[in-house]
Amino acid sequence: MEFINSHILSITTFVPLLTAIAVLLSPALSIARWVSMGGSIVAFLASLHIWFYFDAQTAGLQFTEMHEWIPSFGIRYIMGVDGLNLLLIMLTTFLTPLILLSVWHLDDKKQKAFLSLFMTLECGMLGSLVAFDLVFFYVFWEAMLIPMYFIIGLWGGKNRIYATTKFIIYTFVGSLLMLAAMIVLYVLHFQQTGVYTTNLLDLYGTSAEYSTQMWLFAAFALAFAIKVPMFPFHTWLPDAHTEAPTSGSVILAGVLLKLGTYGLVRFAIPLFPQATATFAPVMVALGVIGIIYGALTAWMQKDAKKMVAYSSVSHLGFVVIGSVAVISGGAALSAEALTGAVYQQINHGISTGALFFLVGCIYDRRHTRMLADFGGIAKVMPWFAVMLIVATLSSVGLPGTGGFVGEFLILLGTFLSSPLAGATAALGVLLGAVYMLTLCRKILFGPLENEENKTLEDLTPREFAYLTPLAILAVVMGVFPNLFLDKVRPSIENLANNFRNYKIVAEAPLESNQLLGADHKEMGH
Amino acid sequence: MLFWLILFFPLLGAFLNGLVLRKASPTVSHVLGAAALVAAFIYALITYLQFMGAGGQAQVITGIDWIDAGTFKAPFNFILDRLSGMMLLIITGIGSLIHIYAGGYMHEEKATYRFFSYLNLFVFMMLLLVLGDNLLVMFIGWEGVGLCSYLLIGYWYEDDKNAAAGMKAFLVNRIGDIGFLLGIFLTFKYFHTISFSQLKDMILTAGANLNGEQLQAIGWITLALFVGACGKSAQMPLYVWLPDAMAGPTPVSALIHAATMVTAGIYMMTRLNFLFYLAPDTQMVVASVGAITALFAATIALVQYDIKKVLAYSTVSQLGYMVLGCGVGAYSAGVFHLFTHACFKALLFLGAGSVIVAMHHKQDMREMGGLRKFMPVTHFVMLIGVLAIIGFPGLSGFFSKDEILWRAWTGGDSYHIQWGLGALAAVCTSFYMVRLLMLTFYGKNRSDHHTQEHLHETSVVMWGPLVVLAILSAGVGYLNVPHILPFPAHLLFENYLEPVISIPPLVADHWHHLHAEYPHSLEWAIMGVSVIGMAVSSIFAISMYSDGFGKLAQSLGSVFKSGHRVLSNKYYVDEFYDAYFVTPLRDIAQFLWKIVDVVIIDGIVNGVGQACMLIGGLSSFRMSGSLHRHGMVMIVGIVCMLSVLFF
Amino acid sequence: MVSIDHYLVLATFMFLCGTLGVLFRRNLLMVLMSIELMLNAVNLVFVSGSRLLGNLDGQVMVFFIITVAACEAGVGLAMVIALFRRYGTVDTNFLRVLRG
Repeated sequence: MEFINSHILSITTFVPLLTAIAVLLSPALSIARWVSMGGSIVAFLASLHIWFYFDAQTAGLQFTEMHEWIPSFGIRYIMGVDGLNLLLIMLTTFLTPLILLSVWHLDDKKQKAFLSLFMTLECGMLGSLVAFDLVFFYVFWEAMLIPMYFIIGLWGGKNRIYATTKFIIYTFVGSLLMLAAMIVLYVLHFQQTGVYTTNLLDLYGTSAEYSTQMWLFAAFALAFAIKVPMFPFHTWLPDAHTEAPTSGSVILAGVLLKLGTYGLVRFAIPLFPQATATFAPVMVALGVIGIIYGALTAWMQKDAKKMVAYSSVSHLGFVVIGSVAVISGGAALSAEALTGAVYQQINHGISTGALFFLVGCIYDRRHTRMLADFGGIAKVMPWFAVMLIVATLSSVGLPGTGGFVGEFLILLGTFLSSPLAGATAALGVLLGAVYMLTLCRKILFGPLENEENKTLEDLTPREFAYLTPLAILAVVMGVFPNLFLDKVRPSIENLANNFRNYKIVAEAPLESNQLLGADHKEMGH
Repeated sequence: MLFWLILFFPLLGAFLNGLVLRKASPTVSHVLGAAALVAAFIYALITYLQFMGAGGQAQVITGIDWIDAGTFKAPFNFILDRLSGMMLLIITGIGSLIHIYAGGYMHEEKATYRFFSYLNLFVFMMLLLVLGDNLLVMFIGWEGVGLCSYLLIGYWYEDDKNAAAGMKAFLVNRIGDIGFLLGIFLTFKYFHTISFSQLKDMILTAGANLNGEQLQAIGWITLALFVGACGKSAQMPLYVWLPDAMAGPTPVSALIHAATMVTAGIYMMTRLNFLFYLAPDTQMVVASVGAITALFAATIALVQYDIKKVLAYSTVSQLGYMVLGCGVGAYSAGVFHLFTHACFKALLFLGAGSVIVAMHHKQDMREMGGLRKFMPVTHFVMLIGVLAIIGFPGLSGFFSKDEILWRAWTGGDSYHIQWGLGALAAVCTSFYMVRLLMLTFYGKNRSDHHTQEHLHETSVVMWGPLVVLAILSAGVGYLNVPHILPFPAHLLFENYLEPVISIPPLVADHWHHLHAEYPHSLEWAIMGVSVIGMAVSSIFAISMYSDGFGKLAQSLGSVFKSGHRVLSNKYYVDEFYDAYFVTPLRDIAQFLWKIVDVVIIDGIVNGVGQACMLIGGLSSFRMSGSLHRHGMVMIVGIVCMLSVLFF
Repeated sequence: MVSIDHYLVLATFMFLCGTLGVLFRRNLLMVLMSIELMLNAVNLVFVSGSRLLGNLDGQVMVFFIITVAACEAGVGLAMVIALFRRYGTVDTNFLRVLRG
């Protein structure tokens, strides 16, 4: 038990990687499927262990692990979990088995490679979520791109090479700027303390001159803004989504995009509080533009998947404005908005994941995603209609679904921070309904005229198996949000109230403590 | 415990019908759906009696926590007071009748599980709306009923028109909901709570301690919430969804779009009356919007041919009255009209539904006529409904509508215009309702031979509820008899609601007229004006439509040709919205996508890529592809660098 | 007496041979062998340096290089075979995919 508790994060992160290798080595695809499923379920169980043993009373870092990696540069292997990443870890491990289930029926030659890449991707995502060392984080952050590059590039649609190249170059540009900023931060910290370290917990205290902070924040924020993606850095997203296979879209929208907003909350904001306060109006403005812009462009789409893709731009605009809603003249962040932002990340993963799955379901049957090819599907696929409506409602933030809790808290906090921004962003609630209901109406309602649609088969048991958990979760998250919010509350309040002077303590004593120097010792208790 | 069962039964019914028993026969769906409602009604009645037996003091029923974030708290708490108790009975009571009726109305459908599931879900959401002790729980219900309304309007989704109507209802409601949301934000910002009971305590006890900023905020809060009310209660300028909502099955129109959901705005304003009293400017806006809506919708109803459209505009108009009542501070009068209207409008809609079933789903009144002979019971109950709505002395509408108009007149000089609009609307009401009655039930039958052959009275499942509603429509008015009329008990209803309605001491002076004494002669005069107006226009309508579209009707139509055209096109409001809001928005969206996204942003992105390729291409002319050349250049380069380093 | 200079001169000579081989041989196999020669020249310098300074760092490095060289040879030869299969030649004059 002791061993499990102290290594649970490594287990969660690297079981998928081992699975990826095992998948490659397995002799047949049928075995590979079970291996990958088994690995992803083990990872999920491990994350459940984290969930149940997570201490919801503290804002500190839990299940921490630390090992020296490259001591001369102060680079360590540090993992930890707190309220800010807990839910995202759960989301990642929860979505992966569902996605594997959704590709169960595919059996082309390269499918084994796909499964392997997918498990590698899971490892990359989990790694960047739990990493508390800049270098370590950066490695995972970049490692995540490689499987995604291949997933889009090899299994994508007609225009996949363009899309995947755009995706990778776009993200790389941001990452490189972030890398440069990380190095500057590293040097700054050395100049101030005489210690080389990439430990995020130590770097939080680093003070930089105002102008330097601006540049550093801009570099970090740009990297994350591209990932989110924020307007106007979003154009890679519709292309990537349209070309990616269903599974790729689900994980891209479900988790990968969240890493951008997570990065904002974990790195950019607490590392550079002054710059955050200065940049907050810009970020909020871009976020609000993104909300409206994404919604309006989504409305105009003729391709269902592209519509859902643009809706992500709109939804993540909410998350961004929720993350940077400063109140009390820049002394604190709005805890309501921040809670909403953290919560909305998960909701978006659930509802948009479900929407991509559903679009995939009809794409599998009809090999088209054009809205004009559908209409009246509710008659032949009633359960599909139920699922699509539940996902839609969650996406438009109807009270009783998780989307409402997130959007409401974000809007409330933003309103407290800036009534104008809050009121404008609230328009997104209306526009969200405009395009999502258009989607529903064009697919589900109206006369069933197209001959090919008349013989469509309703959801298969396998499709049920991966859609039902999402639908149930969407409702549970709307009715019992405190189940989730209770876990994350202390961390969020710590960040919201103290972001000007952010400190985060490691709850469990870190291993190899003796190497850390005096200032670390007083942190562990 | 009983209290929770009220909420539980409709939810259970919705769940079973919607997700479990999808293969069940229509009868099973119907029995299940109706039984859930009747059970809810019984428990509501018991709860209500217990509550009133205990003195009728408001109580908060604590449920589980819902959202806690930062300092924001919104628990699932419920408030049981005289207002919500009354609404509880209206919703479950009239809801039960309509559920029973719906089985008859929908008997031709093959599968009605969806219908009853949505209907039960609607009742659950409506109960949340009226019972919620804070703005956010109310908001669940507020949007939840909107959702059910959307699903039910689009129930026959195979016709794209219905799906479009449902979507329109949802979207227009959402515009209002944004107002509601802003109201919540403002309330939380300035009062740090969104609980009704806490707000009430704060406002009434702290009264004079409210600072200027808060008082100003109350103005904005009430205005924002009123925008929400406009959406849900179909007031100008957001009423456009309600007439379209008639695309849904008629029981839906009766339950959702007449008796319950659309009154949510009035309920909300009454619930927060202590805030609205503090904002006289908002009250002025509310009263004006209500009065204008009442008249505006009534004039449109004058010339409609679709029986349900007439009733729809009539609903908008009657809602205008209720809003007017709230606006002049006469909340109990507004709520009383809500109550009587729920009875007689449900009756009228269901009666119209019976007519529509008998007419094989034809709704055009030009094809009806003379149905009295074929459907005596329906005719009789419709007659009572019409008399009630036009304010025939002695029936419920007379008491409730007159109370509102009287309060409007006594609301002060500035409200005389609103009274005038309301009185005019009453004249129109009598005209179009009598017209509806005459065209449907009197004169010769104008339908085709085939329809005529099958005309007959509906089954008891359908006319039974109608009779109950007719009795209610005739009788409930006596709960609020004005002082001037000889009757053993006066203003029972107003006294009943007394604990809910509370004028903050701070503004008591402004609303002093609410408790002022007026000469009886004035009250008689106001009442007289209404009754005479009603009588004249009814007689006019009878003479015009005694046998279908008589000469008088046709010649009037040709004399006021342009006026008639404007009215039958509903003042071109839909066209106006389309041309000035929807189309420009669509154009902007198209521009954003086609130009900003594809050309500008992607152009820049791809431009950077192409620029790189271009520069690379330009500088690659030295690349012969020969390994040896490359190696040579490399080594020469290394040698050069080393020489620079060393020498 | 063989001094350090002798080793260094020999190593330089070997390195130059290798370089020239890389630059002027047309056969890819020969190019690979020339690269090996260059690596071994470096190895020689390391070993002699190690001997001169009396510590083992240089020799450790040599082991590294031998390992890397082995890998490199393996990959390189595999690529040569692949190229031969695809183009039917290993003459560098014909392999000009890199031309701009």
